[in-house]
Amino acid sequence: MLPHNFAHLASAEPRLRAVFSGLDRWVESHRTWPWLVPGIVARDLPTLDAFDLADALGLAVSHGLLRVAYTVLTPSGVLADQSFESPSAIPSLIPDRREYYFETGSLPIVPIYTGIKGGVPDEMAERELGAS
Amino acid sequence: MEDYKQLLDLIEQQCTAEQVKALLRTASGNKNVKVSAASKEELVRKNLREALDSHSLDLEKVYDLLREGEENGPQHILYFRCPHKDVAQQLTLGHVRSTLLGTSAPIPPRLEVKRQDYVIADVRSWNDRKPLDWAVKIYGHEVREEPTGEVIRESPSRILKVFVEEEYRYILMARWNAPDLLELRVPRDSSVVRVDNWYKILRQQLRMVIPFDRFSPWSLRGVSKVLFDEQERNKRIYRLGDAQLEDPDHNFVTFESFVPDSDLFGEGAAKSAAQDLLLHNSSYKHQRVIWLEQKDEKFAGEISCMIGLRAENEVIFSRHQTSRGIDYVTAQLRAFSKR
Repeated sequence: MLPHNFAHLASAEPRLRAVFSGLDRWVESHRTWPWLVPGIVARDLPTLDAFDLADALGLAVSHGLLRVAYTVLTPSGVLADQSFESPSAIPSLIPDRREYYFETGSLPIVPIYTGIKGGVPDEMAERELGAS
Repeated sequence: MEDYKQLLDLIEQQCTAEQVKALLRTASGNKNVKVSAASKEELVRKNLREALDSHSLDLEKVYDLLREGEENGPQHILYFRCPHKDVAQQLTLGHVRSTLLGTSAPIPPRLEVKRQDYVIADVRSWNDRKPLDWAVKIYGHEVREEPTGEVIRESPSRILKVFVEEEYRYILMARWNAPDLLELRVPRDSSVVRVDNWYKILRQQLRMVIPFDRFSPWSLRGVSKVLFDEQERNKRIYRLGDAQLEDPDHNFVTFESFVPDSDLFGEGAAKSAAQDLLLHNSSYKHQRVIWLEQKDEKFAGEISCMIGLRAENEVIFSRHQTSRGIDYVTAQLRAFSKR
């Protein structure tokens, strides 16, 4: 699940106060979303400046609140249910939400943000399975 | 002193360091039991081996650890119901063991695979909580030629594509879930042909002991409808994700949330659209259910599963689960099927 305590980051960067409170409201109204998708947030909060939003998300990452990951748009136009640490880690073939495997090469890669706890990208989680 | 090499190899491949440590902790205080190690390899090769060699740890618990690690990966489960009490009552662990292995006494699992073959590896009781339940595990081994992507242009008229032989190890399972449910479990795979073939292999290997003609597929489409109707009052148990409905004219209407596993039918337009379709005699094809974490059931995190995607009696788990987690889902499906 996504964190919903961005407001405290405003003390680190007061000029982004409105963005952090917008992010808190957005997460609150998307409680079951496992990921924060910047493009969707920007559409839902059109009054926010896109560069400020990018700065705010970057700050949340540097404070350990969010982690950047990547996924792919499936042929039906929704996000695949696997996430990866980097674009290069995305396999050439992954399943869509209806278990049909598709070639990822020609489909858009979508950056996403996950909460740190419980939001480990799948590919990282798999690696952790084998970790000491 | 026994050679546990194969068992330890599999433990290292299939189990996490945390799982191994948790097992060792259960025996801490006993002779030669150490939990800390510099690496996972040391934890398994040294700590676990020493605990086994000095009989400080029950070997059966180590087999259980391997079972937990290797049997609960992404998988498909086909459910069959046996409405005939006489048949169901005959399916005891002793009967299954003696039919498949020639003895009704417990024997240690077979760990080695047979090249290019599928063989019975383990016939055992499921757990202490359900003494009438049992499981049969089959290890499969396949060698396939896989393309490397390398292309060698030897001459303008001779182009060679390079393939290498890859070895694969698969686990197929049948689980008897008393009093009347049979589960056939096979791995998730990119090839539906392979998935269907694994179901066939399971049926072939078990036909001596399970009269499949006395079983019928347990249709879960009605359960999906109940889950939809009752989602409001069960918000602490599950939420619903992607779904597909079929209207009376055989048109399919598919609902997909933009991000996976979000609450698609909790409120808003998608819920009322689905309600309207169901009101006009549409029926369920498939439904994703996200079961919420239940601390008292001893599984961590949410469990996402797809019901009825390829068959009305199939559930697909696309992520690694625990044995308790999968059993919890089956128990919930059973409970909701009775409403």
